Amino acid sequence: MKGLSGALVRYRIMAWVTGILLAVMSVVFLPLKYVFGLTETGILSTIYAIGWQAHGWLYVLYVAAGVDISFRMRFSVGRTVAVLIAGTIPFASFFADHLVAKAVHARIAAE
Amino acid sequence: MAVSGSRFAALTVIAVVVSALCVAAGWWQWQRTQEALDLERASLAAPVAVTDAADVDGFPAISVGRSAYASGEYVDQQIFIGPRELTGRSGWWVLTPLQTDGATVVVLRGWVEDRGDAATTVPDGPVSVSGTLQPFETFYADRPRSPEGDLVVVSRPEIEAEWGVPVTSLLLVLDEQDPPTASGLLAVTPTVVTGDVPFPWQNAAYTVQWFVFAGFTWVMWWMWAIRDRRDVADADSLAT
Repeated sequence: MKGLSGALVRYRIMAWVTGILLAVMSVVFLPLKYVFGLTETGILSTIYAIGWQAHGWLYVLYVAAGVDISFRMRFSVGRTVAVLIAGTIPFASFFADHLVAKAVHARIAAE
Repeated sequence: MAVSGSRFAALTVIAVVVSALCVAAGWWQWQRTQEALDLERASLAAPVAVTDAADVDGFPAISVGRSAYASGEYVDQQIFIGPRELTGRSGWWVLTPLQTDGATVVVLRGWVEDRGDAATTVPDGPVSVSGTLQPFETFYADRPRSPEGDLVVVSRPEIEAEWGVPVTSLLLVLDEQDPPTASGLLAVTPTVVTGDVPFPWQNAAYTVQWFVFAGFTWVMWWMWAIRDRRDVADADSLAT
């Protein structure tokens, strides 16, 4: 299918960028804020705020890329929603990326 | 077509529910944006101690234009800035250092037509003052004095040089003083009315993003509906 590999590249980039940022924010910055209380002022508070805002906008792009690849792959409604939700759960987008890439490669190999 | 019809209905119901949830979440974030702004504005409306709002090193942007109070004693080292107009008359701004606990605050006590006016006499003893915080003037910084040697600009470096002490980085435009000033000084209206409160970008961004997701829901609904119709048409054409 034309444009499928391009759509996969876009999706994989967004899955990794969004996934890494979400992982860093949850593993590093959530404890910094809620356990150690270090994000009230100063440079850490700025990074904390910018990090979450960046994740919000990157997730919008992730959803756009995820909708694109899901439709090209003719995923079911449930599977599409799972791909989209994966961008909001720490580390889930890495699994989603792996499964989507596997499905796309299988499709390309079959053709 | 019957299967496709019920699937279309299900997709539509899901799209309605999901997009309604997105809109509700977006509206909630918009409310939070407004609440954050209201809270910040309310806290800015409450008077603050001058020493909490600014110090010698600087001040947060929100301190500009805030109501503030201080107490201490005036120091008899008055500076006249001028000529300055008030309601069309030429006169002078009266700047007096207020020695508070640990800081020297520049108080703009008022306007007077004649520098020799008895009203300019620096009050003795402890006073409590309140007013509005204003920035120092930075224009004409290269020539802050008139040819006659009078200071024409409320210049922090010039004032510090004259008084020999570092002063708090915002000045207080006097509104009320206890005990009251002798009549004759006219109140100066602060020109910088208020600083901007920090805008809650995160909540505002979430608002936009939730509305975008509501839109995405209908894009997906539309794409699925089109595809289903096409699939049914293909199946029909194969059947014939």
